[in-house]
Amino acid sequence: MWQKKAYQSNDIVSISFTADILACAWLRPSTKSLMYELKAYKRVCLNRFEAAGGYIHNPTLLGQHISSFFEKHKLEGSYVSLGIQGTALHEGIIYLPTGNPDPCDIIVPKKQQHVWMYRYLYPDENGHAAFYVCSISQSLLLQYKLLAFRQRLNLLSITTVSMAYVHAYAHAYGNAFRHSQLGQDLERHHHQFNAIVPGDIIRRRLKVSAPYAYALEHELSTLTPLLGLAVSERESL
Amino acid sequence: MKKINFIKTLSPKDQQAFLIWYELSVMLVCILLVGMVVCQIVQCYTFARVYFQYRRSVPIHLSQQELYTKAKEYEQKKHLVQKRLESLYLQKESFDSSTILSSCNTLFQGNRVLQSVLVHDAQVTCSLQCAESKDMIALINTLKAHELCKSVVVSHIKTVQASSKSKNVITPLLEATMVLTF
Repeated sequence: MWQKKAYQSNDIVSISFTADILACAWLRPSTKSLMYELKAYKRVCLNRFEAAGGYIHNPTLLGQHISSFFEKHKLEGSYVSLGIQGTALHEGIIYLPTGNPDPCDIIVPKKQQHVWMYRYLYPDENGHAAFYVCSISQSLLLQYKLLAFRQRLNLLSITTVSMAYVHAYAHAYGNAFRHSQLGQDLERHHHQFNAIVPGDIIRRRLKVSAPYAYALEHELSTLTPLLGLAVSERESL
Repeated sequence: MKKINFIKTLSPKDQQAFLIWYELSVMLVCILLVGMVVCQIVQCYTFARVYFQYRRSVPIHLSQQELYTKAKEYEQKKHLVQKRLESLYLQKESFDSSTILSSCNTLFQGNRVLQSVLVHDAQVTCSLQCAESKDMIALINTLKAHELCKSVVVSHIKTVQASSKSKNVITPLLEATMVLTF
């Protein structure tokens, strides 16, 4: 199941499913700095509703895209982090009077049927705490698990693309990351997670080889959540 | 910031620990197996050596045992033959036809005429003729008193006529058949 490569390697393969794009990136974290090296990258446009709204409609084709990336770069056994975005997931920001809330106080639709989680984001101007809440149905989660199982992926996590953006944001600022600054940036960009991450910092934190220089310039919005997924897994490595 | 993860999986550290544990276990099992095989090979070699040594020594042992058995049999046969010989010697000593004949010859003198002697094993059947009955009785008593003779049985007595060619005179004679056991 786990191959020799997983025994020694710290490489992470990030896969993001958005409404019309399937993106895979092979990232290698630097041991000395906060830099990440983009070893390989693949972006597939899903214009036939293969994963529309986050639902998997064509697992065979998606599996082929993923397996071809893994086979091309010989990444069998690498750690994989999966990011999902779409209407199938419930995502939102809620404000609670306390920064340490009781999970029972958090209102999530279909709470019993869904797998849900929350993370503290920033303090509000009114003294409330803003929390990011997301949930996914058990059936959809099973679809992604089956997809990963079929492709023999060494799956470490399934998270949301929004949370990957937050991790990329935190990584971009490094030690200078502050929750209050995150709050300001989110409010400035109308809580659009994909807009908060500064592109210039990401470019500095990502070491890209020549074949993928074009992607860094023109597909940064796709690369950023992939970097965020890799960053979120770095702690567990 | 803590990550959000919808699934519970083995962390990379756990995977690495599991892999190390697995590889170590496999290695230890292999070492154990190799050690066991080596020990078994040594034991098998010892067994084979002893077995072939035993196989080589078995024919010698068997031949020796066979010789011993044959020797014992021969000894038994020799013993039996010796016993037989002894008994035969004893028999020869106790029963000698020439002695008997010579004794008979000495016994049947004078008026006693020995007609026939039939020697069979330890029994002698003889027929004789006497002129008078007292001679016959004396002979029987003499025979009974003889050291070699165990029993004297007179099977029958009859009177016969004996004629003399020179004088043309017919004289009556007693003819007795006796069975003597020696």
